[in-house]
Amino acid sequence: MASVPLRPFFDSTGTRIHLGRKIGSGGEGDVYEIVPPHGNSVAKIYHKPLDLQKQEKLLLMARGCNEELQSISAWPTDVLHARQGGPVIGFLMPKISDYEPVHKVYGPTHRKEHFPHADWRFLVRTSKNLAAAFFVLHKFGYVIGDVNEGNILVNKTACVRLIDCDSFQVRSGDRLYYCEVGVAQFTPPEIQNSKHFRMERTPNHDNFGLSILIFQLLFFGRHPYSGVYAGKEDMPIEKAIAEFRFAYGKNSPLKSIAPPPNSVGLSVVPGEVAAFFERAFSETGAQDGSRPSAGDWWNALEALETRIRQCSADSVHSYYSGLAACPWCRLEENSGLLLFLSADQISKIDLRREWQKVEAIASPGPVPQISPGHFIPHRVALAKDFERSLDYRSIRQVAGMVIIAICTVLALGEILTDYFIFLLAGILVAVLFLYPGDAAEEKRRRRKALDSARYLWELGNRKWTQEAGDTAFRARQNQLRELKWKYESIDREYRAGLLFLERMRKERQQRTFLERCSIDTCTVPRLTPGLRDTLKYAGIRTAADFTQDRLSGVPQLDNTLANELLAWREKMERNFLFDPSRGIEQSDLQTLIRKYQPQIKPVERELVQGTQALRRIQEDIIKKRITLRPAVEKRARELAQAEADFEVFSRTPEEMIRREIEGIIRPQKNRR
Amino acid sequence: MSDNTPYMLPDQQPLGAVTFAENPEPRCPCLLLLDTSGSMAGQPIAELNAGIREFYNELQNDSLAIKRVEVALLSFGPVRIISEFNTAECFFDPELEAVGDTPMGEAIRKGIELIKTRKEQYRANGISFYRPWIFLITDGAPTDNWQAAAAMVREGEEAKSFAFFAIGVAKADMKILRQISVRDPVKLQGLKFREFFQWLSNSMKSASRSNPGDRIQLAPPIGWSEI
Repeated sequence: MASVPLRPFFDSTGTRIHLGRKIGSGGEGDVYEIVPPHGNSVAKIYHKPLDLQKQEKLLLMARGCNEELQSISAWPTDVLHARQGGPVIGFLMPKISDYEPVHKVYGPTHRKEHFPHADWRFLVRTSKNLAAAFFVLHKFGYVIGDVNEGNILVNKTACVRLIDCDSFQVRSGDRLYYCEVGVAQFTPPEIQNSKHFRMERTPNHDNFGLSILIFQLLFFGRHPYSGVYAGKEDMPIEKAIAEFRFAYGKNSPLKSIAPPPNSVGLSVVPGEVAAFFERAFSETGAQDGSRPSAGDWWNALEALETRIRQCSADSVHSYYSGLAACPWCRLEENSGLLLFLSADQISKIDLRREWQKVEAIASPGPVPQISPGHFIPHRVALAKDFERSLDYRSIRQVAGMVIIAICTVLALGEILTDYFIFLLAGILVAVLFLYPGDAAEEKRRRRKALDSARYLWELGNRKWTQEAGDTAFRARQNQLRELKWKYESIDREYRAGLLFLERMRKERQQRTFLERCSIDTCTVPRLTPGLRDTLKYAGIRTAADFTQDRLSGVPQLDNTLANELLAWREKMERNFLFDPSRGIEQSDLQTLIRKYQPQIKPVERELVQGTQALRRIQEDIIKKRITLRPAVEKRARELAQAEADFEVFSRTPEEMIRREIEGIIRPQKNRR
Repeated sequence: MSDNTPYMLPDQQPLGAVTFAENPEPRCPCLLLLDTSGSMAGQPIAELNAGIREFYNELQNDSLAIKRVEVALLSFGPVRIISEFNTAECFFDPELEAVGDTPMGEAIRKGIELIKTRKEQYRANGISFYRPWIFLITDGAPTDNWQAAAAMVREGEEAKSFAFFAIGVAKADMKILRQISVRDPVKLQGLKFREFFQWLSNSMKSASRSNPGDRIQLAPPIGWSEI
């Protein structure tokens, strides 16, 4: 328990101020609550006596206090004395609660935890409010000097308050009270190499820090001078600042530095804002008064605010409307990052509704049949000459066969044995069969036409089944079904986690309670200081550690004493009151969300994109069935015609034999 | 990376570039080389474990340190990477056991390698970093060749690639430690590991919010060392 100074302090009017609980502690002093009626203030009491300079500075600040300053900072409202008329030993300032340091807003991890609903619009608003705060300070002639990530606070409504005001630089007439501290990451190049801060700081110096913070807010915590450096040596941030190595600037290649992977460049902000960053972080800005001022920033960000658009694919994405597409979608997709959380859910979609959308996309069904068999070709009679030629051909072939038959009979009867006669007969038969006749040319032509029609039909038919068929549609449907299962299983795990947290709530509250009961408060009389130390060495430090198991591991304890200790724990347990109003710890819930959201996010994205793809596929198939049909039907008809045209020739014996052979070599082909 | 590491804990996940994008804060790496040789058995190892737990606790309760301080644990006897460089969010209980000998030389070599790899990752991902700290904690004398490791420490200190500190416990061979560490080694008072880690977390916390420059800002080692 922090010690409370008992004696009262006095403000500048001599009113007694009684301090309450200590609520903060720093290098220079402690901060205390104040006993009513001054309940809206807190007091900072310094550890060491202050020199005259500092006392004067605090007096001046308190005297200069006004409503504007108070609304943007923890401005000293009055000084405190240990005795009336004595030296200044501290000061009063407004109490600021429910604010978080700005680094928890610009750092994505902490932002998602502490500002889960903050989107990019929120970050722009924070930047604008930050500029407004700097503007007010500069207006009244103060300089912050020590701009850093810890002394600027932000609340849930993106309002900004500056703290640690007693370090600000104050001017009164020709007297200057220095700000003697600074943090390298926010210190401008022109004073980066100075050994100390006993120097006049200018608003232009502050504006460097302001520009850094705005950059960090708008670019997800990236420091403008933190990049991938091409050189071999280490490039600490203060060196990069001193050498103007702005990683995102248009001159960055000259400075051998490039933006880090998974970051976005200046193109995500309007040209005016980008130009401001370029100026603030370059050599030109280092000349006094050259960086964009707080007022300039306010105007530029005000303009940006009116040009923010919500992403159509992801409603938690808001971005500069001058861009053609949402930059956060692309960054998230390329990097696997999760830039913004959607409320308290792990998923942004309603699976049931999403699935209804999938089911609403009707299947185009199996491909409609197109076959040459559906077409009746018109038979064209063959020219007279050809008919006759075919008739002759038949007569020739019959004659040839008769000769073969006679020869066979004669040979079998051994009536004729002269080989020469057989040879002559063979030649005669060959001539009879092979004599081309007038129709041969026509037959070849029709044969060619048939082959070509068959080939074209095959191509057309393949295209038809592939492009007008439902294979692609069914494959995509199956993929979506799998994604749905995956989504459901992650969601189930998440819900199980929630249920577990719900159940653990009581146990955890009790455990936290027991952990607060230190062994030092244990009232068991036989627990000597020596034994107490032994227990501490064994890691038994609070009532929560008092378990049968752990106590029996300490040989110095006898059974009776161990039981007494356990009884003490039970007594403590009885003091515990379960508070059902305290729901699941926000941090636990956030941990759970942080664990499952990155898992479900890609599934969700694929599901949404897949649904759109399914719709496109369906539309495509329907379109193809209309556009492809005439061409494919034409080929089917042409094939039917070519087959019919060739029919006359195919009745001849040699064609029959050919078809038989083809049927054996190419079974089943062209059956449809 | 750890080819001859006997085993890795199953739930350790290498940190990818995503982590750096989610948390682009400058990093403050700290490597602990912990002696887990047989002589540490019993109370010393229990105290060391408890100290490390509290160390992480302290870091976790500081909103800037949790984003900036990265701790790696390497135990020796045998040399094992207990935890690669991670911010305190990813802390898990090391539960070190004391077995084996004291291959201090190998541990230092492996540790320096670990730092080198981590720095390369920082560079590739555009993450600024402070000079890494290495803390060697031992209660004995090296059982392997330590001269080469000592040379590496000297080189690293000269090049300002890291700052090396040696802490001797109980019967540690301070003479050899003095030859390994460029800075004077410090002797731990009794088993005040908790006090040491308390001091270390305070130092890391203040370092993580100061200028990431060359200066090493360590508070005087009061409350845990024999001076």
